[in-house]
Amino acid sequence: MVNVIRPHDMTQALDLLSQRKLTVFAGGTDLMIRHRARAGTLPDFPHDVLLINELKELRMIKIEPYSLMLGAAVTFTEILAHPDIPDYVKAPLAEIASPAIRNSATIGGNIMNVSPAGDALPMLYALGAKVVLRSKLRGEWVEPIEYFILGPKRTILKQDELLMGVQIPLQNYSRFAYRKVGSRKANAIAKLSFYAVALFDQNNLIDCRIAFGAMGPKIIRSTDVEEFIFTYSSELWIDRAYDYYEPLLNPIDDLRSTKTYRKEVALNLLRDFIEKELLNEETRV
Amino acid sequence: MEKISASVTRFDFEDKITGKALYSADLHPKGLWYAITLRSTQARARILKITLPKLPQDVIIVDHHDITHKNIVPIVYEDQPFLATDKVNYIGEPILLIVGPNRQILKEVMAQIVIDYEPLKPIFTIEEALKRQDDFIFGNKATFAQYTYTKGNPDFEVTLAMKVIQDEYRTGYQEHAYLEPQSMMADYQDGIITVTGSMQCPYYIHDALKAALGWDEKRLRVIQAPTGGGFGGKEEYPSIPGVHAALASIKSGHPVQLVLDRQEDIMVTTKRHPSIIKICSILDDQNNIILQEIDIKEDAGAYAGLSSVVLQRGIFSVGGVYNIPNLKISGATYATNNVVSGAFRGFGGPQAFFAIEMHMEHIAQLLHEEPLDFKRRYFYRQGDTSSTGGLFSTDIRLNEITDTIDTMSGYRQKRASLIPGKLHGIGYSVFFHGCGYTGAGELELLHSLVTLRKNKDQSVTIFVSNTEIGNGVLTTLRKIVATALEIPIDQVRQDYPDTLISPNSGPTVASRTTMIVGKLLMDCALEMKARWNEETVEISKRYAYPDHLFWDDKTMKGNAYPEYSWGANVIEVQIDPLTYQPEVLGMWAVYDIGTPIDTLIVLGQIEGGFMQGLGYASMETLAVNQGKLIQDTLATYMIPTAHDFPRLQISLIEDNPNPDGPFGAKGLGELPLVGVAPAYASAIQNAIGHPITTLPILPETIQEVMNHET
Amino acid sequence: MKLDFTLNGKPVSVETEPTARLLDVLRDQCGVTSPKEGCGEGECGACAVLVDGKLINTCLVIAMALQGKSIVTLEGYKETPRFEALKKGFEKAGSLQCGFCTPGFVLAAEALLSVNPKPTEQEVRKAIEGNLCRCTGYSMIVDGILEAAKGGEGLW
Repeated sequence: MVNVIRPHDMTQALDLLSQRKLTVFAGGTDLMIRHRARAGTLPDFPHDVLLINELKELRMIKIEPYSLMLGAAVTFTEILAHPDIPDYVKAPLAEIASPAIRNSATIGGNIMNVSPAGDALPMLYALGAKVVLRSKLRGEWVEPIEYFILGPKRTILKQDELLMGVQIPLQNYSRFAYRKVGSRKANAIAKLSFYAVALFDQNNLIDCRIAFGAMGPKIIRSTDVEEFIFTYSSELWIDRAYDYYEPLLNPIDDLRSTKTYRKEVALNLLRDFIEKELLNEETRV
Repeated sequence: MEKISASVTRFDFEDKITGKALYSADLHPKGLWYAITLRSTQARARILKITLPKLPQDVIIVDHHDITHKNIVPIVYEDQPFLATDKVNYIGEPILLIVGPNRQILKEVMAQIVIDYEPLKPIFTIEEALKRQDDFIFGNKATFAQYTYTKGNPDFEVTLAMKVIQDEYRTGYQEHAYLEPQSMMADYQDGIITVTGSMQCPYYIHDALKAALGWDEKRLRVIQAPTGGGFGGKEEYPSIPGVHAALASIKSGHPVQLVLDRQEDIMVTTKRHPSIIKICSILDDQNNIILQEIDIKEDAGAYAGLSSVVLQRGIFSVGGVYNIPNLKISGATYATNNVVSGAFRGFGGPQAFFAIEMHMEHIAQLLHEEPLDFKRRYFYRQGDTSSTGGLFSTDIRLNEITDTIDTMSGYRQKRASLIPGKLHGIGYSVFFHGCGYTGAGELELLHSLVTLRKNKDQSVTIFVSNTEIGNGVLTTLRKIVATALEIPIDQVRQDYPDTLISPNSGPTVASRTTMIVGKLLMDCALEMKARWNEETVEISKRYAYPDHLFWDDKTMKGNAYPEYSWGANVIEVQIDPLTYQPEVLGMWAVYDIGTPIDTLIVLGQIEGGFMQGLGYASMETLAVNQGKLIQDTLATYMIPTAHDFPRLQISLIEDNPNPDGPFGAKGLGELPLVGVAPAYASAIQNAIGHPITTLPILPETIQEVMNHET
Repeated sequence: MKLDFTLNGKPVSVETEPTARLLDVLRDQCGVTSPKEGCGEGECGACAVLVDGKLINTCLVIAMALQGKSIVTLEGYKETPRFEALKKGFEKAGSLQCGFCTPGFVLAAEALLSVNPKPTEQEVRKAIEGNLCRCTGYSMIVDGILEAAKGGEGLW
């Protein structure tokens, strides 16, 4: 029989993790599907469960002028209800699943589930988020999310390490775009998603970040490409963006969609972002 | 509006809104045990050996050896076993049951059972079935059923002056996705087996128990529990879990609950038939359609089930609402090693009307005519004969339906003013649904019996086998009786059917309950009214085939259905040029269903049926690969949510009462689903300027069609 | 483990496995039948209850997480004046047919109206986006909730 341990505090949690393999459980909305149980049977968790959803260190939301810290066990409903969290952080989270799921599901869970279609991930990648980790041995440290995530369902997290939360650098992005393309308008897993933010200084574009979700095993973001495209003059942005992103996008056919669809639509959304959000501002002299 | 149409509070409302309604999985009798089903993982194989682990105490196995009489599901043909013997023909076919008080233990035992299979050569598609020369699934041929019929003279010579227009259409599977998965509770006590469950047809299960057990009818009892949706998915399928639960209860001596897990339910229960429909129209030198040759091919899956009847409705519907002088219509339903296809709201009609409506639109385009005008040239009128030569003896309001929907939607104006290339389109479909059983089936197969009883306390009780599955049956039949007797509706009693006391008034299918069973009850009530002064009265009536109808099953000539309901749909879309996703801007429906017996119930059925049609047309993709369904959870099989579509604008023709229906009513249940897909498809087609010939139409489909053509 | 929580205002104590699904604990051990199993994977909303006032899909919750919490199911909610308003609204609008999804929708409506007593149609549709219905086509449920908001003035 699988035991569930609810640690009194962080010290106990880290202590337990340093002793044996545990399934770390916050909202459980992904874990309970992965280990699905028929009615009247128990989910087939391979290890004991560490129930961390009420540890106060994991439940905080801290906003500073240029940084947002979200505890791993903060739910999406809590993030969406917070008046000071910017819309460009909230937008992808508002389209996750359903109200009941958002009441339980956590930002930490979405990161640790590492689904190629994970809704929070394109935003976290684009904003340069860093995950905060802690273990009994090492103490606390941060890791950029793009190094933390290795691939579907795989991170660099070791058995004794715990995801504490995520630090999201904030800037006064004046433009952002988020589009999740699903099989229906609500409560759907993304076939593909597009996330982008842009920062202007008067009429000059000084920062632009673009990320694609559900287009491959990992979120697609390239800081090199971002820097490079926008060194060109604006009338070339759309063509250069196409040239440089096209080879980076290699989606697959699966039960939800086709590679032809995903690729063309992703590039359409990219072009549309540049046209509507970048060129409009830029050409408005 | 007739007085009867004014809505009353549904009689099942109180229990359902308070959560008091007990669906069969909510029942917890003392000593309850559970049954889970071990199913085939192979699409086609011989079972060589089954190795059971040592069974813990209190766990028993039920297999085909426990079927004491006939291991054949009694449904049209006799090819499907309740439990597999030495062969399996589809992934998910039930092989044995594991029964006991603890579901965790049952799960563990199931995981330890080993089945040795010898794979056989499967057939996975209609194309493969067509090629097969031997090693058939069903007897010695590729099909379960094949039919042909003609009208007029279809074999005339085609001359050069004539135009030939040919199209081929394909439609896919659809899953019912009723919110309540299949569920049965069986209890064997004092020599009597009682099966309580989620069902549309208590007497189908009763017949199934009779077949499997061979017992006297007095020892068999079937009770319908509140049922969480059916849509045809609980028409014939429940006979199988019903008998399974019964066998488990008889063998264990305990009440047994058998509930399908959702993923299991999607994988193994019946589905709408995929189809390939070819239509060829010949036009004379005046551009009149003088001949249509139509062929329907359907994928019936591993066992015959109701496929022959679905095919019949398809071939009787595929000529559409059009009076074409010469017809040659054929159909075949093929055996494959896929999940069994079966009844689903519309029952062959949605596939047929998709094909004929898109084809007529195509012809209209070729002739540079607006489809609204082109189609109406051929509309049936009262006095015409149908594709099977049956007389349409009542008024057919297709012109009025068309004019009404045009006004409501602004269809004609919009069609004329739409700018090509803007991806904005509007489409129109017009269609019918035959109410009641095909041909003379109401008499020959069903011969429904109803009973009405006046009690000493002046209350009146309805005894029928028809089921409340959300369709309002517990309310509409009461309204008919109360109105005929002119007594307050609260004086009329009706309960969920129980074969112990409910006569067999036929299944709750084929849009027949209000029109056929309601009419019988009305006749009973009118007779009872004349005898109202008697202290107690009991009147039973059996269905009588109307004199003005005829049907010859062998030649397929006559009235294919006792009556028809008619309708039209218009859908307007705007397609997102970035994502190819259609946004439905408006949707309209006009129906002639005779007199609505209860307006809210009628509107609810229309909204729900229309939404299922939208899902069928736009998002419910259900692919199969080597006999395995690809989308097998509610996370991957997409049904519409509250966000996906705008409000439906509805109008009813309410001054064309059916002389043979109770207070003028006709059938309603299936009509709202039947015409949606062609309206949606022609809107998409209109928006993108390229032909659409397959369902469902996903954004991926739209992209493919647009890119392929350029 | 011993699980102690409040169910519809009354303290409850059950002996259960810590990883048992809350849906099973409620249905098998607490005599509650209104949360239904429609899919077992959090897609349909038929199993939803209110946990400390929040709409939660019970098929995805483990028993241990309920320790000390307060759960409201339709069995308890139906005794409230707010329920009466929803009942009137649903009755007037014809919001139920087979009824299987209804308990989930009633609680989803409560979850919405308790934070937004005068929602727009769009807000209602967003609040019920996690509830699947196969019978009604949704518009009549939306109407029922809007009607309840109107008729239940002051209750939320």
